[in-house]
Amino acid sequence: MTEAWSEREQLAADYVLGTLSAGEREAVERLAAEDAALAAMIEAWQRRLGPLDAAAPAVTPPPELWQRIAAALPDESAREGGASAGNVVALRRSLTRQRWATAAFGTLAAGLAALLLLGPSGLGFLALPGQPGRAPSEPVAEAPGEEQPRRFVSLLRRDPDQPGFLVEVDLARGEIRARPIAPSDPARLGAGAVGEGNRDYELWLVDRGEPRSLGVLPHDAGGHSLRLSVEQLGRAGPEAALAVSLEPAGGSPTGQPTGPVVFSGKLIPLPDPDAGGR
Amino acid sequence: MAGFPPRPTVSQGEVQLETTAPRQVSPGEPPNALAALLAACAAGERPAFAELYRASSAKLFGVALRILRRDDWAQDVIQDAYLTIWRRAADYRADRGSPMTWMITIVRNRALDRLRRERGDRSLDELTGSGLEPEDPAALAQVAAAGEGAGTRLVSCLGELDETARRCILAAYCEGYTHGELAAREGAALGTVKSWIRRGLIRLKACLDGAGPEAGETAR
Repeated sequence: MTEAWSEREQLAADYVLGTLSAGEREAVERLAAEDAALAAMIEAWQRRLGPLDAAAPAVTPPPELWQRIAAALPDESAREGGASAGNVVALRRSLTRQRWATAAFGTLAAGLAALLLLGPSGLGFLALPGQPGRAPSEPVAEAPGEEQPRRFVSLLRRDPDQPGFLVEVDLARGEIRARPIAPSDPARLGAGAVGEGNRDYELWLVDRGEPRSLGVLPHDAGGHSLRLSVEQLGRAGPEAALAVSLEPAGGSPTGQPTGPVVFSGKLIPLPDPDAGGR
Repeated sequence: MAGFPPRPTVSQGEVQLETTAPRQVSPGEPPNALAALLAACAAGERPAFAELYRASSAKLFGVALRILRRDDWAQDVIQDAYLTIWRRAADYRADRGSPMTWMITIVRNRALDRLRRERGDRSLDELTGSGLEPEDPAALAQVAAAGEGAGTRLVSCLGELDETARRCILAAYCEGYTHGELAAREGAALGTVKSWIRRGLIRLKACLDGAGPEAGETAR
């Protein structure tokens, strides 16, 4: 048995196969931009399954399609700064910078204090909508023209090659979804087995060194979903990160992390799905 | 800018790429001509872009249509994809696959994004298959003919899978079926379909990566 079938491998295969939801697809794309191993797995699956495209019959598109494309080509001068191109480029740049930040981060020893060492990620000001204390039912970022991101993704890991959870934050739905994605079973990493009654993973939002509990991750297999109130997220600065600590069963008794931080990751804003089209 | 600009002067030989006939421009073929066109696009050469479109749009439109089944959506996706190709032409790396594979990936991803955005799952009525039938020898022969042996290998490894797994994998890849849609079509539970596919992919990977047909059993 040379190589285990990891959740990451499954994610890559599912992505290429095309069975993931729109949100999951975007999450995977963002992750692949900073997780070289995941990107390589995706490429490998594209190579494996690519010959299937040969059987798609060629169909000549109507001539006016070319006219539309030609008319939509950006001006020569605006090649880098075209409307939608600009965003993509900017995002890619910020991801590149973040990759450096992550690499510099190296192995996270333990303790949330370590998160303070994270420098500015270059992501720009990342304002999670909603002021602390605002009613959770108040619509989030509904204002037209509002540019604050409503969805985020985060790859929580111990070090660059050891991802533990893929977390999606959807403020519009008020939901956090965490799915285990690990080369090895994340449950084995802590002292004492998670899921056997004595330990739990607790998810934290860490903003300016201050952790706020987002809840205990359920340990059944498959996607873990947590309800999230806007109050819990409040307003997070550009360096906001997510972290998972190992806690006594049921979560930290003190409201602050008591066990070691086993995974952490930056929050990466996702573009609004409706804004990407046209 | 309207109409095709004059043909570019990239090099001779590759301009018989008009793609309306069924045979040519399978992924991986002929990479040099398309790679040269992409390089010219990266340098901002619009005529090269027009030629690239001429040489590849029928194939890409076919891929988009197979997934989306709607002409208008497929056209949107193709427009979007070509603008992306123009913008990102410099990102193409020959060592990571043929130009056609690279472009098809862009189209596939956009088509799948569009499909998922429009609706999560389609109803059973909408799922009357028009794609690659798993037991259709002609279609599989086309797959087998693609690439340098990669197609043959894929077809033989697909042959090692359970029939249901093969059917599900092909419907997912070629026609954009979700797990839920596959469950509806197969009349099986969601979890069952997922585990068919998972087992199928594990065996497929083991087989394709050179370990041979039996290796899938141990890779579990």
